[in-house]
Amino acid sequence: MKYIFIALLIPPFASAEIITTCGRYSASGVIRANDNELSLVINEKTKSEYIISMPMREQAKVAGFIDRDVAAEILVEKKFNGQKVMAYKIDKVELRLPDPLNPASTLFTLIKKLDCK
Amino acid sequence: MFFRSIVFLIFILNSAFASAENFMLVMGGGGEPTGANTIFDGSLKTISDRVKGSDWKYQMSFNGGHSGTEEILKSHFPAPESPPTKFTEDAFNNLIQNYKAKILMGQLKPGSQLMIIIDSHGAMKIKGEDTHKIALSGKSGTDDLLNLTGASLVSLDNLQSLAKLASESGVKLAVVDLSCHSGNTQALKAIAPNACIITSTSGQHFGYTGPQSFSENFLKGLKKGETLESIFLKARASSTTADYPMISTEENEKIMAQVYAGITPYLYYYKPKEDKLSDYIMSSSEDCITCTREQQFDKLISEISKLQANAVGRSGAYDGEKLKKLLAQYKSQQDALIIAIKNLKPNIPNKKEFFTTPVTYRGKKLDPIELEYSWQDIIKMNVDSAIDKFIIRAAKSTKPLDKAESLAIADTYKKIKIKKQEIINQYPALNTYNAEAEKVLKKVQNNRLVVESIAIEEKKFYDELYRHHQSLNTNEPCRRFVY
Repeated sequence: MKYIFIALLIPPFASAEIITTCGRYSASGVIRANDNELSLVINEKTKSEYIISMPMREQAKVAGFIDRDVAAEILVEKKFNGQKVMAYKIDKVELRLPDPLNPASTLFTLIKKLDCK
Repeated sequence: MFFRSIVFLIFILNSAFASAENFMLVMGGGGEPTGANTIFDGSLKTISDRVKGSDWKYQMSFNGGHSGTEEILKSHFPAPESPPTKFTEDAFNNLIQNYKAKILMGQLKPGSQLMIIIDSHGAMKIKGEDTHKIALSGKSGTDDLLNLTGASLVSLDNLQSLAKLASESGVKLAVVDLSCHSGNTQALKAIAPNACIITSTSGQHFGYTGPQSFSENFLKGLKKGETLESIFLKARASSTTADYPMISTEENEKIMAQVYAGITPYLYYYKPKEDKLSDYIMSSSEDCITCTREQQFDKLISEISKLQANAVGRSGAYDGEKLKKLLAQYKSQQDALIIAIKNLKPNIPNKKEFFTTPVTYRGKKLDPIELEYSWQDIIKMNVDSAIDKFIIRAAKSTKPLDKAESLAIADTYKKIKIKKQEIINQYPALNTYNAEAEKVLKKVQNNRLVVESIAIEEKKFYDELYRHHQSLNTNEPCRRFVY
């Protein structure tokens, strides 16, 4: 009975996916640049913000989209530290139309779970 | 012994709260064009009426450069805690530090009330900010009411440390932001959960001054013994301007989740310098967003209908028919604009282009840089920025491999730039699209009155929804803060 009650208290967004394992993810976010690198930022400026870094050659794929909203697939192969994730590859990068009235509409979806290397 | 301890505790608590005081800090009046008076003069006089004869101690940092406004400061506020200052960045930051010191040194005791009223021009939130910026004394920003270009600005993020300290130390804090785009200031709630945040509008809409505005109604409503929540609700219900006043209560939060996204586009109007409609119509003329637009509209209408159904049988029951009718009419007008703008777009084929550049490192050929994009993405790309980034990175890099790869990436984007130009040459309408779209939007002319008629009905809808969600939580900061 207690468990049913707890389940009812869990807000719906608690079921939104987070990066918890290595694997291939589809992700939507915004490309940000600083002096040293370009990264994909998911759920920017929220408590569930993820900063996805990537190798130089992968950064080339998103360089035309600085400060733009994109959708992409990312491959995470190594264990990561908190909400800073190193993607081994980024593919299928395309511009995404953000919902201006629902800016928190960025998300992750796990496509395939993989063992961490 | 137990009884004596209780009596002693009550005595201690009483003496602590007996010394609790009321402080008001009024800031703003910035960003106005030159002249004797400002649009904030009316609200300044109203504030003076509210503090006259009250036990509120007040301090002002307001304006600077408008003789009429300064005269009001002198003549209407005879007993400030310290003489009014110009509203400069230093003055703003010093006041924050002063109030933090007052809390730390016990001059503002737990149970004391501090109300910060911000009455200035406000800009839209920008990247990296939690709240938003407001105009300071000095240059005017009224030629661009979205970004306040030209005005000196200060970010209300600077209030965070004071808000956090007050929230943690039992001082009742209310931040009342009456500026445009003030809904962004609701972000303070995240770090100051015990504060009450009231804003004259949302983060995406303008705020207004004048007799029918929320700001004026709210200030007039500051009456002894009333809670801020009650003053807010009365002021919101009686205003007729195209704003979206917000309060940091659970009830407001529920309403936001339920209907805010749906109503937002119908509070946008076209008027030079106050144009929110054009950007919205332009972004909505992209295919996918239209689906969201339709879904949000349907959800909004369904929420209005549900509220009507709940009210059936009650005397003076809520009737949302007028709001639904007005929304449907304005939506049709917006739909027509979206279609007209979509028709201006050249039909670019969904072709893909492949770009490759060899990478040579220490005489060896490495895997080349290979990029593939659709024509549609190429025309939207900021290629110059990509080229610059990687040229700079190559120049700064101390590692030869990074340098070689950076230069190859920059060269690849130079190829993309050439292709982009070829596509534009092939579809010259791409060059004229924005100008033609602007012509379509200009035909709307000033439709602020249409939006105001929706705003009036929205106020009734919000009021009813708020009552529907009303909780009895007596710990709610906006219910505990009493004027």
